Order: sequence, then C-alpha cells, then structure tokens
Amino acid sequence: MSQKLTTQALTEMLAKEAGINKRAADTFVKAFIQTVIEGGIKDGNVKIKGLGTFKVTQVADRESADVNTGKRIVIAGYKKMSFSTDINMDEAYESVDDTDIKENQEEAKADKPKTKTKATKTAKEKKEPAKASKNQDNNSVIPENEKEIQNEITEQIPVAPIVASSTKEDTISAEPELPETEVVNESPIHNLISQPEENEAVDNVISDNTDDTAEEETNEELTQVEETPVTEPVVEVIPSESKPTEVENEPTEEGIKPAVVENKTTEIETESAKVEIEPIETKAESAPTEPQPTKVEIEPTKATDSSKPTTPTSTATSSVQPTKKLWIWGAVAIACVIICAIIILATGNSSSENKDNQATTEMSQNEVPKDSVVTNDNKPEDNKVSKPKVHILQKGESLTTISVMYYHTKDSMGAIWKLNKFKNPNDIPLGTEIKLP
Amino acid sequence: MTHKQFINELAKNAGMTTSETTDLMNSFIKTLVDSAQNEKTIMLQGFGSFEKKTKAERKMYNPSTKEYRIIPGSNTLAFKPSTLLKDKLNQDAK
Repeated sequence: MSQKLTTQALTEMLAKEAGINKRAADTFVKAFIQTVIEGGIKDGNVKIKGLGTFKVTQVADRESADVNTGKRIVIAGYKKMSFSTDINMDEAYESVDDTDIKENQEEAKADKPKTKTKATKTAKEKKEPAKASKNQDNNSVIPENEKEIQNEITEQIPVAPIVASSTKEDTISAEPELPETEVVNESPIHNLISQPEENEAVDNVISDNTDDTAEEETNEELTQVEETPVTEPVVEVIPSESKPTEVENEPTEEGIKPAVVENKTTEIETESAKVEIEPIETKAESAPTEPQPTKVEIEPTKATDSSKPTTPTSTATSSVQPTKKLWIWGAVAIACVIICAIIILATGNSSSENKDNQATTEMSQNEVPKDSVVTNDNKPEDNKVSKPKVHILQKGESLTTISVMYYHTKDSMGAIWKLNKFKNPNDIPLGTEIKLP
Repeated sequence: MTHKQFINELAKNAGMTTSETTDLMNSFIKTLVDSAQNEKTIMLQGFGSFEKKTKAERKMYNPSTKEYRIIPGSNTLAFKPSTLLKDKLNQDAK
C-alpha cells in the first residue's frame, strides 16, 4: 500500500533536504503551486526542467444520454490540467544511487579510443615489461582487443617480470613475423600463469588447508609448478605456427593443476607432500634448460616438462601409499601418450580448419559470380517488359494495372488512355489490343 | 511558459532570488521524486497528487518490417489534479 504524504510532510522533508527552516519551505511550496496554476491559466503550459510539463487543456462539450430518462443531455466542457513527466523514474533512481557506476561507464567509454596512449603509458611505468610490449607494438599493428590484453599483461607481469619478459623477448627475437593471432594466444597464457604467481592469497588459502609440516613445501612446489609452465607454452608456439590449438588446450590444464594440488595437500597430508617434492624438483632441474630455444629438438623435452605437473595429480590421487618412483615413471609415460594424442588432434584440427577455410573461400568465390548472373538476369527482364508495344487485355486487368506492370507507376495510365482513345476506360472488351506509349 | 519564466515568476511569488529559487526547486524535485520512488503518494493540497506509476511492457508491431518488438515497462511520475484545481481553472474561465 502506498503511504500518503501531505503537504506538511513534504515541506518538512524539503526543509531538511535544502537546509532551510520549515516556514521558508512552506512558502516555497505554496508559491510553487500558485505559480504553476497561474502560469497554466495564463500561458496554457508550464515547463519545469527535470520534472515535466503541466498543461491546461480544454475538454470540449459532449453529448450524453440521461440514464433515467433516456433524453439527450450536453455535458459542458471544462479545463483540466494534465502532466507529462520529463523523467523516467528508473533512470532518476539510478542517478541518485548509481552515480559512481555511471561515471565509471563513461570513463570506460572515454578510455576505449585512448587504448593506444594508455598502453604506452603503462609500458613506460614498468621498465622490464616495457621492452617486450614496445617491441610487440612496433612489430605488428595490433587491434584494440589485443592491446587491452597487453595492458593486463603489463599490469600483471611485474611481480614475476624476469620470466615473462625473457620469454617474450625470446619469442620476438626468434620470430618477429609471428601472425597476430598467435600473439593473442600467448597473452591469455601469461594471464593465467602470472595471476597465480601474484596472488599470494591463493598460496595462503592452500597453506591454511594443509598441515603445518606441508606448508612450506607446498608453497615452494606451487611456485615451481607455476614458474615452469610460463616458459613451456610460449616456446611451443615458436616452432610451428599451426599449433595454436595446443596452446589453447594447455592453459586449461594448467588452470586445473593448482586446484588439484589443493586437493592433494588436504587429503594426503605429509606423505603425499614428500611424494610431490621429488617430481617437482625434476621440473625445477629441467626448467632452466628451457629458455634456450633450439626449436624442434627441445620440443619433446618441453612436452615431458609440461606433462610433469600433471603427473603428481594422477599419482597422488591414485595412490595414498605410493611406491614412489614406479608410479612417477608410469605417470610420465601416460602423460607422454596423452600429449602425443593432443598434438595429433591439434594438427588434425588445424588441417580440417584449413579445409574449412578453403571451402569458405570457394563458397565466397562461387557466390560472387552468382550475384553477377542475377544482375544480368534482371536486366533482360526489364528489357522484355519495356519491349512489347501492344498488350492484349485479359480478364481482371485494367489500365492502371497495365500501367503498373510496364512502367511501375499508375501515372502513365492516362497516357495509355489517350493513345488508345478509349471512350470509357472502365469498360473495355476483353482481348482488345492496347497500344503502349 | 518556459522554465526560465517559471523560475522568475516563482522567485517573485516566494520573495527570493532566482538562484535561491533554482536551488530550492532542484531539491524540491529531488524530494518529490525520491518519496514517489519509495511508494509514497504526495498530496499537495489544492493542486493534486504525484504518484509513481508503473507502465507495463507492451508489444509493438512495426508494419514496415512486420516484426513484433517488446517495449520494456518503466516507472514514471504521474500527476492527478485535485478537484479544487479543476474548480480554480474553470472559475477564471467563467
């Protein structure tokens, strides 16, 4: 139910809002009413910015029937005041509450065209990533979306700047001619990887879950696990341009890993922690070899490296009381098979994509000549329509329909009428030959 | 009567300067709209009542494209003149 708010209550609220005494507010409200009425009588309408328009309209006399007697009576006309709002209440309410959000939206809108300048600014602020981002800017003309991603990268990198910047420089120095799409594929990986490194809170959450003995070990493990994948996907992008799908697949795996590590640490406590240390140490040993890309030869080693972070997940979850090394080697073998399968699938997909692209290009090539054929067809039709000089009248036709048929307007009906000298254009026998102008 | 004329007239009637009047007018509108937003009917004696009115969403047919479009509902401020106001308006006519 709607509460009623009298003039008095409104004046009190107004006094509080404007910071004046009640009497002044009361006089103001009364003056408001008076002026609106006077203005309505004088000018017919009163426009108030931010509120609406009051309009005085005349209602005309109208007839009606007396219900009792059935006689006709006239209801006299009168003036009434109507009001049309200037405001949408939803918007008004938003403007009261969500001014901050609106301002942010406006700022975001204003920022969109300025991404170029912002990218350079952020790059200047942070020295080491600046080199990488500047090189990328110089190498390729990059659309806005990628620039936004680069902004994110430059913001996120500084916590672990050395790893990311070194890999980036490697990619650029090795293959500056990389297509733009691969640059896009690289960037989300950096996001995924750099975020867990930055977020110490994640580590803290994990450490809270684990026992006290496993805390330090798990932290070290996590950092190692996160550092190693940083280099892997980037280096894998380098050797072959046709493997962006691999890159897309791997970050998902990496994204899953830390969560699985959490589960392990909680469930298996100290024993599993010891088990985990060993494979990760191997990772750490293998990691320093990676940043020296001799392209294809090192690829398989990196593949195994990328498999190793997955191995502890399978080992730890499958065996609570492990026979350590056997399990590790078995898991490594399984992971190798999986990665080989992924590579095969990826190459298959890329080839199929190429086929699709070819098909689409063929389709587009086919479509173009079709259009030209259609346009050619249209022209002879027009010629046919305009060619005949005589039309034989058939049932249901009139001079206007013939005019529309041949000249696409009703206007030339008069010309047909004049040329054929019909006495009555509405009464023409069927089958008569009608000359066309 | 435009907004400017209205403010001038209102300032004359209320005995205030125009700048004061504009400020007060803004806060007046704000209180009115806010209280209407909170499901309240503002009854101004001798003038009428303001109320929040919910407009339902409706279908619109565009004959040129032959498509139906749904116009979303909205909340607006409605004004209902009082009988006293009607009398005042018609007194002067007579």
